[in-house]
Amino acid sequence: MSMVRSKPFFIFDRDGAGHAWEQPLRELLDGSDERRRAVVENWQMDHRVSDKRETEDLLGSGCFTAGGKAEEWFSSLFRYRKLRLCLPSDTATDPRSAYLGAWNDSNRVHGIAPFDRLCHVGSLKMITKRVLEGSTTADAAAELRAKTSVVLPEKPPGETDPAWLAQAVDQFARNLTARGGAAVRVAARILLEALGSNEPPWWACFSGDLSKVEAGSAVGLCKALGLGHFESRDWLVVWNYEVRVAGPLYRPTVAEATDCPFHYPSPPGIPFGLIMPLDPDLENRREVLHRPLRGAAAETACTGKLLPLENFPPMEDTQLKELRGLHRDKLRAWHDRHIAL
Amino acid sequence: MKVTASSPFASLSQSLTALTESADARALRAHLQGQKLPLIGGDNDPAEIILRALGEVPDPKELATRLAPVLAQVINEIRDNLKDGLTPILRLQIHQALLLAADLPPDSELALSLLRLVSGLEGRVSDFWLNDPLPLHDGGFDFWLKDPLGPPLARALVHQQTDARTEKLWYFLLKSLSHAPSWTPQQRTILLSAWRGLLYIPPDLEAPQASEIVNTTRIDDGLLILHAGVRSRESGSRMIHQALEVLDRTFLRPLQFWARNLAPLLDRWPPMIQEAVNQQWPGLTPKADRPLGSFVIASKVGRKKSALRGRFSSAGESIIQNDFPNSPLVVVSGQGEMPPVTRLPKGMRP
Repeated sequence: MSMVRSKPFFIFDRDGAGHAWEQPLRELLDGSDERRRAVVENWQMDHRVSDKRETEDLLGSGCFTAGGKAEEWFSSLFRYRKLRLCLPSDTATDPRSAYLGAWNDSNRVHGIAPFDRLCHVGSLKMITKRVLEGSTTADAAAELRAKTSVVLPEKPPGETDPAWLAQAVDQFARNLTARGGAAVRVAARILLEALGSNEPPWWACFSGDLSKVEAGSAVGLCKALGLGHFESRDWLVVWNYEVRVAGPLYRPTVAEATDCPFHYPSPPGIPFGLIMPLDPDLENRREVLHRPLRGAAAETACTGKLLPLENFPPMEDTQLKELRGLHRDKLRAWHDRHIAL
Repeated sequence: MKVTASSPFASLSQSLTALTESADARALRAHLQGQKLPLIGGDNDPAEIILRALGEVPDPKELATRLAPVLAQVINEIRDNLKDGLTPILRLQIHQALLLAADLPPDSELALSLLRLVSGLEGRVSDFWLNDPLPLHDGGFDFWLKDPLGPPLARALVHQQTDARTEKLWYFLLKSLSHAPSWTPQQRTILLSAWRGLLYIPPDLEAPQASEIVNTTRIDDGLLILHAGVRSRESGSRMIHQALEVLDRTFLRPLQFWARNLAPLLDRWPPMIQEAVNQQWPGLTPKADRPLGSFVIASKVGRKKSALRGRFSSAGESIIQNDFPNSPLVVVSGQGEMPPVTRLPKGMRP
C-alpha cells in the first residue's frame, strides 16, 4: 500500500526518501514524545554527518537494523554508542572510536591556539558508578586509599535503597574535599584511569567563554553548558586544560550525541559545536569533542574543587520544546547575519 | 524526588509497574536494549535509566523487589540464547542485565538465574573467569568488545545472595584467580569481589549459629585460600591488606570484637596475614602475645576441609547440580609456610 506523504523526508540534511530509517523516524516524528521528536529532528537536520560516515560507519556498522520499528531504532542508537563510540580514542589503535574515522575528517577543528583552554565537566556520581561497575575497581580502590586515604564507596550488603549511591557519593565527595584540592585531583586521575580506554569522547567548551560565576557554580555550569542530563544530589568535577593536552578536536555531530535531546546541531559555516544553554538568555558557547584525558593530564587539569549540584530539577518536556525553538531562532538569526548574506 | 506526571521517568515508571504485575520479561528485555526509555542524554546505560525510574516511584524498594524475578526470567532467556553464540549484541544485553541485577534487592530466583548464567558462560568461553574478554569478530561487527562480563557478573552475584549457595563459587574464584599466572586488573577486581561475596553471604536464620553475622569460619577459610595464592607475589601483601580493609568496612565492629574473634586465629595464620591484621587493627593483640615469626614450619602439605571441595572448572554448573566431589581441598602446595589446620571440621563442631 503506497502512502501519501505530506512532508518530504530527509536525513542528515539530505533527501531521505526510501531511506532505511524513513519509517521509524516518521513514526517518531508523528508521536507525542517531545524528546524523541527532538532527537529525530537532530538526526534529520545534522548536515555534519558525511555521506561516507552514513554509509560506512552508521549503516555499515551492523548496529542499525533495516526497516525496524521506532523503538528498535533507539535500540540501534544504544548499540551504536556502546559498540562504535565507546572505544579507544587513540588514533594509533584499531578499532578506535567512530568519531576518529576518516569519514569524520570534515569535522576536524583546525587552527585553534594550542594554549587556548578547554573545560570539561563530569558527574562524580556517574563516574563513580561506572568505576564500581568496571573491570579495575580493585586497583582503583587500593590506589585511592593509598594516595588519598579516602575509601571508594561500595554498596553495603543487603542495601535495597536505590538512593544509596547518591548518599555514598555525597560522603565520598565530602571526604575528598576535606583532604584538599590535591586529593581531589589525585582522585580524579585514579577514577578516570579506572574507566578504561572505552570511554566515549569528552565534550568540552572553551574556558574563556565561561564567566567566573558560571564556572564556580554547579547549576551555573549545567545551565551554561546545556547539561540537562545531570541531576540534583550530585557533585561536579571540572577539568580545565590547554588545547594541546586534548589532542585532535572535532566538531560534534548527532552521531556522538546519539539520543540526547539537549544537543542541537550547529548550523553550516560554524566549525565547532554551539551549545544550547538551558537558559535561553545565556550565550551559546562553543563546544568540541576530543579524547578523554588520562594519566598526569587528568590530575593536573582537574580544578581540585568538587561542586555540589542542588536545586536542579529535570527539565519538563514543554520547557525543552520552548528552549529548542528559541535556540533554533537564534541560530537562524545568526546564520542570516553571518552566512546567508 | 518522587515521580510526577511531567517527570521524564513517568512513562518508564508506569511501564515497570505494569510489567512487574504481568511478569512481562519481554518488556523488561526491550527496556534493557534501549527501547521505550526516556531520552535523558548523558550516555546513560538502560540499566541506569531503569534504576533512576525505580527511584522515583512512591515505594522504590517494593517495585524493585517485584522487578527482580522478572529480571531473573530475562537472564534465563538470555542464558538460553547463549546456545546461538555470544554475539556482541547478546553481550550488551547480558551486561545491562548484570548492571541492573547488582542494584536490585536480593532475590532467590534472580540469584539462581545468575548462577545458571555463570554455567552458560563457562560453557561458551573456556576459562571464562580467567580469559574473558575475548576478541569478537561476529557478523557485521569487526572489533574487540572490551567490556568484560566477569566483573559485573561477580558484582551482581555478590549483591544477589539470599543464602550460602554461592559460597563454593567464591572459594573457587579465590583459589583459581589468586593462583593465576599473572593478574590483570580485571582479575584483581573479580578476586576482591569473590572475597566480598564470601563476606556478604547472609546468615542462615534457621541454623543454630543464627547470630553469626560475621562468619569467622569463612573469613578464616577465605583469607587462607587467598594467601596461598598471593603469598609469593610482590603485590600479595597489598591484596591481603585490601581484603582486610573490605572486611573492616563490611562489618563495622569495635576493636574488641576483632580481638575476640580474630586473635584466636592469629596463631595459625601466616606472617603475611598477621602483619596485615595488626596494621588494620593496631593493638588487636598485646605485643608480647604476637606470634609473629613464631611459626612452626610445616614439612608437608597442609590440608583442610572446606566448603570448597570441587573441580575448578564449570563452577557454576557444579553449584547448580550440587555435584562437587567429596575430596578435601589442598589449600597450599608444599611450600612449608603454613601450619596444618587443627580446628574441627564443620560437621564435628558443636
